[in-house]
Amino acid sequence: MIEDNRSSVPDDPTLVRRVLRGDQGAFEMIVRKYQLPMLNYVSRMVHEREMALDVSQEVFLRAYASLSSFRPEFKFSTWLFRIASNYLIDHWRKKKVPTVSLDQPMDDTDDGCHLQVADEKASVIRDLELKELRTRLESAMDCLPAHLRELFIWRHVTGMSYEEMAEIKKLPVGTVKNRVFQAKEMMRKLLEERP
Amino acid sequence: MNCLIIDRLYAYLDGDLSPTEKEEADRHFASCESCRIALATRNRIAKTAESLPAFKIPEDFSAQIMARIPSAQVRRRRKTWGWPAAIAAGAVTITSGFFLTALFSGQGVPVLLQKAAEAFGGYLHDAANFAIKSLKIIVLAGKLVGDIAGQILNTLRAITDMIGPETQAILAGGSLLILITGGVFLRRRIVFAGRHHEN
Repeated sequence: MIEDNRSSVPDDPTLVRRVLRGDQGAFEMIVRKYQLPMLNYVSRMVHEREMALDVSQEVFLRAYASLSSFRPEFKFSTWLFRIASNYLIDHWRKKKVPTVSLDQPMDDTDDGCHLQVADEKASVIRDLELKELRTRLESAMDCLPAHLRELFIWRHVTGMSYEEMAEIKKLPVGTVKNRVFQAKEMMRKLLEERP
Repeated sequence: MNCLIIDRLYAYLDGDLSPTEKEEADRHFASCESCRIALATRNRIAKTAESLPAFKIPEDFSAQIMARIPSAQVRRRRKTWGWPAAIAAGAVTITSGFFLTALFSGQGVPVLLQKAAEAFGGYLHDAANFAIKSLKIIVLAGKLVGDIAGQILNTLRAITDMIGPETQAILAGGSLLILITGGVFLRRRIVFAGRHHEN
């Protein structure tokens, strides 16, 4: 998933070993490999470009500082994104941003996803131009609760698998899937409703 | 087949349906416009999200991060030069202190050196006395421990003389069993603690 430039660089465990031996160039390779997925995720979570750059920098620095605690039997990307997710939770807590926690437990049974398909003969979404739909999608994404927005971004913007997302959030795969469906249904309703 | 439930629609898009379920769903889509539209709408949202423009990363993003990481070379150099530098600084301080004392007290350097040697000799004498006394205490403590161990052994010998060989065998077997059980229990706890730590 989620790697920016994976063809010419060594694999993650090799890079981590090299960093731990004092090769800082290897850490720069890690940064270059993950900077795009990281910024694609963080920028859509914090909205401001400069803030996204600052937060992402801090995430990479935190990862560097705790690299010795990384265990190679796990995926490096999921470890890195867990640091990012936790960093955002701390960041919002410190700033006292009134938002739904990324880790807030929720009722996964009442999500509207078990409903039968309604009569959907008319749909605004199908008729929109791609450019227009992208703009509206970005706005609709901002309206999602943070814990659903995060999963939607991971799944559809950074291209993570459900298994990777479950590993990051330490949740069962079924719960993650259910929440992604929930996010998508909310997005669809927002897109259909918005003029 | 009835119209699809929303989560089955998403399962279809994710490729999570079994071949039979997919075939059934495909047949349904062919005959149900509502479900076809519902599927197309959700598919379009997913595809559009996947095609959103990527974040424009500044050229120097990784360089900025690397600039904030303390250089490993600097750390290594500090590590290498730390002790010699401290010893050199100590030597310089003592020497300059010596010459300054000579300068302000009006005494010659040889006299000061002699006085320092006498003082150092005194300290050395005291330290040697202290070391000898400490050694004596350690020897006495060793003797005491030896006496206690001897007493315990004598008591055990007396007990074993009092009981028969069958009872001795039972006691030995029981002790062995307790040791093995304890060992197994302790090992399990260590393994469990390790797993718990991993999580």
